Amino acid sequence: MNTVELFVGLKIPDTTAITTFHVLRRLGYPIDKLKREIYYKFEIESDPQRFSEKVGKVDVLVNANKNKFSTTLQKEEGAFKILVKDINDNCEGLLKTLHKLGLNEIKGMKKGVLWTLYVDSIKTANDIAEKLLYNKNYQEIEIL
Amino acid sequence: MIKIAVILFPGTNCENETARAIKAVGMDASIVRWNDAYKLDSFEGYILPGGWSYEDRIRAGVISAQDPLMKIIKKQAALGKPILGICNGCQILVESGLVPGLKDQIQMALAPNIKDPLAGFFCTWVKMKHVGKKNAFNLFYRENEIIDIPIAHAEGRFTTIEKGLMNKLKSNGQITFQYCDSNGDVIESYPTNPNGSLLNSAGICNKKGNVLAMMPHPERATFGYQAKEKKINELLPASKIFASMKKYIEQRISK
Repeated sequence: MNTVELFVGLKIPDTTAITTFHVLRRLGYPIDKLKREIYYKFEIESDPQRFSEKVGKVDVLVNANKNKFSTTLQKEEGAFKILVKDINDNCEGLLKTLHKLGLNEIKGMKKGVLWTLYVDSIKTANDIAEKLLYNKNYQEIEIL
Repeated sequence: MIKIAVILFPGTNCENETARAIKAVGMDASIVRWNDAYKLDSFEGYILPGGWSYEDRIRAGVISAQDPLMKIIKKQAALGKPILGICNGCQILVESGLVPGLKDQIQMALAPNIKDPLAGFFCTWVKMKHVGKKNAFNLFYRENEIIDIPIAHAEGRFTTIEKGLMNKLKSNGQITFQYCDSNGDVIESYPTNPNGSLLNSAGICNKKGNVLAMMPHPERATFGYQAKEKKINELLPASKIFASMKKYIEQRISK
């Protein structure tokens, strides 16, 4: 089984990211900037390179009119990446749709929201995640 | 006349029908915008109505829960004034930690619905029954009284990772409403439990009983004309939640 990750961002202004930034500033967090991307992780039974080329053209995941995407994690200096996922979410509905679209090589998938926080330390990033970005009663975080 | 503030956050969309329901039971209602919060102290009770405050950005209710207005609501709750959160208001109260309120932290979540084999937004009439101890919102309900009421949400599943919390809420009498079938049986599976809520919880209050977070919409089941079987000139059983608020406030004022 191979794994492919897909990071989908917006080319247009991301109102959720803008609101989140303002809320964090208002709460007193020393944050310079933040970015938000939708994160997918696919378990596939096919060639990862060919799948990566194909998956970015799937409209339900990437709408070329507003989205941009990457299949590799972009590491950045001074930024911390926090992935928020719903616990026990196997994306059944989305997976069925993707199968209907012919992507039968996908055997399993996960979805989440990847936040890139431009803050001074991992501690601040964790504090922000705990305060605002996830509710531990049904979500979990991962530092990427 | 008793004055209730109906809080309007950007994205709230049930403020007018909520105000009408309050007026129907003999109270006065004012819609108060989140940025007019300085007015709030003078009200005797507060309702956070349904909608999509802040467009549910990040997750439902969390941004409103961080709004400075909620500090005032918390202060008023500590004074014993009744606070009712309906649907998105319910999510705000849980995200602010006011419900269940046993610790000074967020103990629960309103997670995405689970209703095998489907998921996502769900809008329908359900049945819930009144259980738990008497509080500011159930003074006119008999024990196990069944109430017809609509729900409309995608994230309405009361859940927690805190071991023993649900049993504690049950033994404290903090679970006020539970989803049930027409016989009053609490069946854990869909469709009786429309969203997968733990212990079929439809409404949970704080320990003092003056803050209630409920996902169903009583303001959409107040007037007879809103019922499936139209009953003109009649108030429906869900209206007793607002009538109870009135009685609670009258008792509080007379003390």
